[in-house]
Amino acid sequence: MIQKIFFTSWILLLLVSNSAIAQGEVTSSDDIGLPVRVAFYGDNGVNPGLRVGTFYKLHENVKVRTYKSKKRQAKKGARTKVIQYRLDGNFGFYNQPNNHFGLLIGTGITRHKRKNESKWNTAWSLEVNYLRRFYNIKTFEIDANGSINEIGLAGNNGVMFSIAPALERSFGEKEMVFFLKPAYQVLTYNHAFSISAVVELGITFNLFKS
Amino acid sequence: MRNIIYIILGIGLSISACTKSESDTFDQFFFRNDGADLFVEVNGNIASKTFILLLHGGPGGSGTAYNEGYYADQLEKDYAMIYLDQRGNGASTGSYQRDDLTLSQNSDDIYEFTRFLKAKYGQDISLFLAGHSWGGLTSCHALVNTEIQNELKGWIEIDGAHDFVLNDIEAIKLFKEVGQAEIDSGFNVAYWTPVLERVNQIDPMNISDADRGYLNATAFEAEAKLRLGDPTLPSSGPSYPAYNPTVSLASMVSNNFVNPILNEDSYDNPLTDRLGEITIPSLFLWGKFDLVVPPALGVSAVNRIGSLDKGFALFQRSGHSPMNNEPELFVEVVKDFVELYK
Repeated sequence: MIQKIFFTSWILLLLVSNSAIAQGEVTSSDDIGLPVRVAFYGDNGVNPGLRVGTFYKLHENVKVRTYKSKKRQAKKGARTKVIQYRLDGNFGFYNQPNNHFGLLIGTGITRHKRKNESKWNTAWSLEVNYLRRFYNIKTFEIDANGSINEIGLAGNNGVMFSIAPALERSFGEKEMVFFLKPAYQVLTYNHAFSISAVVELGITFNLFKS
Repeated sequence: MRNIIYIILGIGLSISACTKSESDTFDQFFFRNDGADLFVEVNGNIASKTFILLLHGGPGGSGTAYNEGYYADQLEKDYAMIYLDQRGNGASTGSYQRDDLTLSQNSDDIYEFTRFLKAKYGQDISLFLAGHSWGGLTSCHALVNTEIQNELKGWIEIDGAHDFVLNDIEAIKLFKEVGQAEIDSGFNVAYWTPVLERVNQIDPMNISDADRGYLNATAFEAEAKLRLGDPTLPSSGPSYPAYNPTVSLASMVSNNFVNPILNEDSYDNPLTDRLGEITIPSLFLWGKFDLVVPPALGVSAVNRIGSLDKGFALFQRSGHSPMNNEPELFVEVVKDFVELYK
């Protein structure tokens, strides 16, 4: 039941997110195109996967600080810190050999900080994902008559909450951004829950940017 | 854009290809029963039609952890070894409630699994049930609470904790005996002196949870101080972590949730008085210096079991795991038993 509620909520969030992105493309004064993230997704560091996603800028706060010394201000200019709050949408998968193939779909909120004088950015994300585990080996059961049934697409579901710091480095005029994002996850597992650790290594780029 | 799609598809295909699950000597699958998906590895001589189902220790252990080493390699030459992760343990997973995590449900899982094995590999297979440590309790529980004896040719208990209450009392006795002998011989005196002081403070008629925790943790530590086994014997190392189904951090954490629940149930189900209900051929294998599950439990079991076909072997240079301390002798004894009753 909880999973159904979560899944419905997620679909609604995704719709809101997509609608917001579409709206952003039309009305945004700073045309950012469609930001896309593509990353290697390492479940527990060793189980390889891939994750793609996008985001929409919810809010931006620009702080400009000047130096007290006018001489220094004239030489270096103002320091600008841009803090963005972003709504993320993600889709990914990974494979734990001899156990399961994980499909995850989710959303999150990111606080992204960028300074004008640096190409290094930092971010923090809070995410919630729906995780479907498909066993990648066969699953059987036996009925009361002693007949074996093979269960197709067997697996189980889970909800996964994660917190993830990220470190980014931007390159070039097209603002290609490389990022490293370790995440700590709490997920429903068997009768209770468990924890997991993930590392993402990938790039962010803009599609359709004019 | 097209290149990115190709890269994504390429990575996806290569990732999903990293699984092996079946051959003439290896089989790997999940078995579903009452909401739990139990992880199973079958390894060895499947064509022999002789199977040994090994239940792991714990609670909070893993069957695949037993699928390595000299003893496993040798037994797999002649028989098919089945390494099962019991409900909530290791790589087993599923969708069920906390109330479903009981010894009774676990016994039903094991019984249904033996029915499944016969349906899959043939009704004519010879099936033996073995249990190590806590697996000795779960195998014993299944034997006296289900119809599983009808499916089996024999039971092998390896340092099995079929009675947690008796186990604690006997562990205190053995700690005192072994500790004093070590001190008298001048071995690790600095280690054993405080251990004996602590153990002497435990009242065997009123053992607290803290005492139990101390006895169990110290037993493994103390065993490492004893001069057990033969370090010159060959042993194969663990498999590459990425291909080990239990490497997942989730499984390891989950084991810690499972442990207290099944531990409590295990204390509530001492099986010494029910051993008489077991009538199939049975073999009890114990390490003489097993401080975790002392050999007195094995002696008690062999005296009480209902079966007339029974044996007991005490491994003179072993602790809690004679299959690792004295693997050659262990394999010899197991083979003798299996060949006699298969």
